[in-house]
Amino acid sequence: MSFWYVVTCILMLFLLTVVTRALPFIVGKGMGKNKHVQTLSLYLPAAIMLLLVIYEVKIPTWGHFPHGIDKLLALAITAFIHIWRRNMILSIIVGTVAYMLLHHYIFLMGPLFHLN
Amino acid sequence: MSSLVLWVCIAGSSRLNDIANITQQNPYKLAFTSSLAIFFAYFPLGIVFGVLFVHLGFTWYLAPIMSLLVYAGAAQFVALGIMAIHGTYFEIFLATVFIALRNAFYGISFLERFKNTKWFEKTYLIFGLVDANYAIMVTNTPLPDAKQDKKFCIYLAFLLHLYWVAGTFLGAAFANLLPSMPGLAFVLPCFFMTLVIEQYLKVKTIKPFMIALVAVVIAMLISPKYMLLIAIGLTVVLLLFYFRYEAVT
Repeated sequence: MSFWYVVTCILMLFLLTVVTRALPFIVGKGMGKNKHVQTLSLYLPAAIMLLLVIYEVKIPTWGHFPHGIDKLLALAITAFIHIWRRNMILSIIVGTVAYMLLHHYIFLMGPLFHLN
Repeated sequence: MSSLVLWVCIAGSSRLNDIANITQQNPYKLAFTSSLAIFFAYFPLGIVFGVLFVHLGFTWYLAPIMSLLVYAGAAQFVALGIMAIHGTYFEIFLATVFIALRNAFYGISFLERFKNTKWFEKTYLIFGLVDANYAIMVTNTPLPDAKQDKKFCIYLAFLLHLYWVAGTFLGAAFANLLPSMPGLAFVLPCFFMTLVIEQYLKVKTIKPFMIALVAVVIAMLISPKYMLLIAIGLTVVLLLFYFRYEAVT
């Protein structure tokens, strides 16, 4: 059942939030001095963000037209706008609209929107 | 979201101190003025989360409940993406745990500052340790009066939490009045793309990104279905090995 699946996910993530944020208060000050912890805290978020971009463009679906070209173009536009304006909401709006327009009008795939 | 917020706060830090002087360090006014910039990040993103949540077919009121209890921007979006394809709990856990773990390093800065608080105040302050909250609190030097500083911290945590939950509520409640747009899901890769750039500006090296790419190639060869899980695991191992080797040489 989808409802209880979502409820279980929420409760699990609630615990995850509480435990991760409380960790230094539980473990204490010693944790921050660990070299491995420092390395990971500095570089892992950066690596994970890129992994998430790659995950979200769903490479396994690239077998058929337009082979992910619409997604890569929209992401390039997002990156350009973000480097230029450094405004996250603007970058996301422009990138998403660019994807929708490319997908629908240039590559002629899928509906732009449909009423519920 | 995290790094944008960090940047906004650092950029606005001198102004925050001015505001502190003007208002004779009224903790509530100070918390409100310093939270205002974040409103424009958290509130619309909350709406996006709420709309996406409903358009994926989940019960609408669970969206604001999720934002209220989980209160983690990126992790919530990642979890939602996996929930959309009915991934296993283990997949969701593994995909979010490393995003959530980043917040585990924030508390180290506040071991002293949160010391003289009641248990429920401390619990909420720790729960509210999101990127924006962290950034504002480390940017603002603690108010000289410990009681006033405590009020400032709690009110700030509450406001940021409110922006995120209120946005999610509105997005979820009115999502069905809007036409559904399949392309809206592309908000997610765009969101993480901006964070890639923000992270690069923070770490100022492409090494973690190169390591991530190597991990992706290996993970895709092993199993495209579990690419994310395998890639994150490999990235952790490769990062530790690489930077250990670099430290030795």
